[in-house]
Amino acid sequence: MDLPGIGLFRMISQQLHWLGQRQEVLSQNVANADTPGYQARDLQPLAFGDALQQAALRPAVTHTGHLLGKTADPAAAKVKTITPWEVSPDGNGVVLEQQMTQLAETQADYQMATELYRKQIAMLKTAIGSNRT
Amino acid sequence: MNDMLKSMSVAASGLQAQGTRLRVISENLANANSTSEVPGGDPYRRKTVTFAAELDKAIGAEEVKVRKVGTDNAPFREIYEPSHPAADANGHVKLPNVNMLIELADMREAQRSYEANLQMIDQSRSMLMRTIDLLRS
Repeated sequence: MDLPGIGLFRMISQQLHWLGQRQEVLSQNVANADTPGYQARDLQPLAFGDALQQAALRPAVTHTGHLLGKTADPAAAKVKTITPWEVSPDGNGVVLEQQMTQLAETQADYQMATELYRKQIAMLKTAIGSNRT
Repeated sequence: MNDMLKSMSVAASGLQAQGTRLRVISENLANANSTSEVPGGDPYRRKTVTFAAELDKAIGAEEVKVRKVGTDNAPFREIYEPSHPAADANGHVKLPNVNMLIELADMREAQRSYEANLQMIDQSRSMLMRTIDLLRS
């Protein structure tokens, strides 16, 4: 079964991937919260429209020799410097409160994405008729 | 290594750095009254910690490292106490340039940063578990 071939699954995977990368960037910020001159960073938001188009467009297979090919791994999202709420005298631009807010946001989004994934699987199981658990 | 493990490893470097900072702070506090052993000599000099972001090439993320444990060049406090073993010819004793208030504030800041890093690990772990839980559905 080609789960990534189903648009929704692919988009959820992308979202999870993006959130994972964001978590990594946030942890770098928090670890360097006391490093002089360090600027807080964040990822460029996931372009939902692009992901949607990508999810809808599939090459047609008219011959058994045609290969669908792997969809490109969502390229590493771009990292950008953010405007911090304040910059401390030593030039450090990490505000822990700001980071914690973003952390909570990431957590909630991740939870939503995994729950959607789970529901989608449940729907497929219903269709198959094996959802007796 | 996936993003969650990387993020945990970065947060762990933060924990370690803050731990070192706390160690230096406790050295300062413990030696807040350590005078010289010889008459007229210099007492304990306050130590400082500076951090630097360092790219860990193995995981491709910027971790935090203790760059240097330096010394504070602020002048020593002096009191007049001729009977003290470390007193110089004029009866002045040099006391360490440790300010309790600064150390305590520093300590609190280290604690906050430590907590933030801990929470980061906690959250990365729970996100990882959530992904693994998808297998159970």
